Amino acid sequence: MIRIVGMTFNPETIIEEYPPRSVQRKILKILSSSDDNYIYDSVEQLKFELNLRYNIIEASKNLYKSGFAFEVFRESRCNPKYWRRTDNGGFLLKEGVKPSSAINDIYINGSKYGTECATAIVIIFYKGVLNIVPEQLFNRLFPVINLMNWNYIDDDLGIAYYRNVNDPLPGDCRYFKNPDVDPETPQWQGENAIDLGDGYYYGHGIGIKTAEDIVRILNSVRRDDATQSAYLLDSSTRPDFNHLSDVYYNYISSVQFINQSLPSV
Amino acid sequence: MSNSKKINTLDEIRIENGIVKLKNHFQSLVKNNSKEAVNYLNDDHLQYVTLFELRNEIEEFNILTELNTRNRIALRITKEILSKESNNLIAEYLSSHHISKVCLILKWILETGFAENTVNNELDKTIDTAAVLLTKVYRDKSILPTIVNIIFNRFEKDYFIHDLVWAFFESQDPYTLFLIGNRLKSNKKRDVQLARKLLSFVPGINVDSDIYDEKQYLSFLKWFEENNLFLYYGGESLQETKNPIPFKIDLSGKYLCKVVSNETGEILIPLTPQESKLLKQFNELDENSRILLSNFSSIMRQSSMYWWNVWINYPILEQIRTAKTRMGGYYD
Repeated sequence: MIRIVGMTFNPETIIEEYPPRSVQRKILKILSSSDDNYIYDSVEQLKFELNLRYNIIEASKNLYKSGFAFEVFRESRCNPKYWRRTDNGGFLLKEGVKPSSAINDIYINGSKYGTECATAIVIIFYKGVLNIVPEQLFNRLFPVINLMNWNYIDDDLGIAYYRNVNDPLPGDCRYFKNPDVDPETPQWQGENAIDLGDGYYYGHGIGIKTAEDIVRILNSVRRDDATQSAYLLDSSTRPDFNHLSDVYYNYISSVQFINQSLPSV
Repeated sequence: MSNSKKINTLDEIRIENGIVKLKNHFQSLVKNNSKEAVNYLNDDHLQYVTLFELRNEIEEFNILTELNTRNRIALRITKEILSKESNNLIAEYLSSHHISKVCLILKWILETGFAENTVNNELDKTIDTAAVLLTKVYRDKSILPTIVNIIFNRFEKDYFIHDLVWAFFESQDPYTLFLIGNRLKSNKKRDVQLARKLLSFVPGINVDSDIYDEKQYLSFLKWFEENNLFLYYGGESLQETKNPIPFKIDLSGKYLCKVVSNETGEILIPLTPQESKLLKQFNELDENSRILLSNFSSIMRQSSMYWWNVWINYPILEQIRTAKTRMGGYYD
């Protein structure tokens, strides 16, 4: 169930704000019918999560359409106008470049980029946030971006890995494990994929597929004497929605305060 | 494949003068005295890096057939690894009667293929694949100290380590944790940083902590000593999460103090009817109670076998009551 300041929250009070069959409605239904408690400080905090999850899904679909390529870390590539490729295959934001412009460039010039699945998910999380917070706030929050797997991620994004998740949600990053992968292709030891909320997942290098299709594709890159199928874990990787919401609303409040304080001309 | 320190002339040129001079020297050597060039390559002391760097020249001068078995197989494996398409060479070798020879060649690649001061993605990819073939396919554990050295050396230079860390843990041997734990007391800051990261799931190890390293090392040793017989491979990797938990503790094994399989977590020795009954009751408990009993059982057995035998035969609720009383706040 959803609890806001200690009280059970009735999702019907906000559900009409979202279109029928929308991903936000689906998330609200999962949260409110769950045996687990989902705790928020305010309705705005809950709405922020719904909005960010929706934008993570949109960012996934758009990255898929962008021409962004799959490459192993050793052969990763990026647009040198915005990023410096590091020795370990990551992309480090260049000095003097606006973080928002650099993230947007991946979506505009996708074909100039190529990397593995986990880094793609981190890009999607950054883009989801960029879609809903003012550009100025985004650039202030993430002045240094280092895109390399799950490492070096900014604390303000607050990405965490949750094991034994009872309620996987649209916008979560799920993990398909491939224990009998061909040793020559370690990049297919598993697949990080965003739950798109409609029975499909976006996994970079695999595309937009059902869970069954992703398992089938991973099974095709197993070693010859494989005995174990790939499978979907009950884990989820998520940004810290509540923290990002607090940062966002604090920023909005401060901007409003400044605007109100300015003398009218 | 001797480990003697004697250095091959070609290796010496590569180390002292670099790859370009090595290639130039080798080309003129083949032209002037092909037999001598082949002898250098077939020398037991040759390092794989040199063979790797000269692979195009070997092809160009058509001397592959004159090379010894070690070099021919090593070059075939290298070609397979670096080609985009798999030719099932690995499977072929796995099922062949040359399996032990191939294993030795992979070890040679790994032990002599690590060039300290260069970033060579193709060479590193070959090293990483040789490592995972040895650990995951051939189940060779003797190579683990070499792999851990390469991992920490690469990390110090900020090179790519994820595939090699994956290969290392795919050995499914808790000894990997011990090898990493030793780096907690290293005098190199980067060693300690990586060791803390890879052991961040161990109680007492804190990635961001300022607690001095000796204390974290002792925490690790205590945990390892208490749990290593009950650890099994869970398979989490750096592709999946920032701080993977590669090994899990099998609570059933720890409770009965029975060694478990590192691969499956199943108790290796057949249980008596009494032990099976105990385990059935144990598995019906909530997770906190199972953690409490397994920790208490392990500590009690180490301190007094006599009292452990008395305690383990108590009814399960009495076991919990005793454990709670004796353990105080120590539940972790």
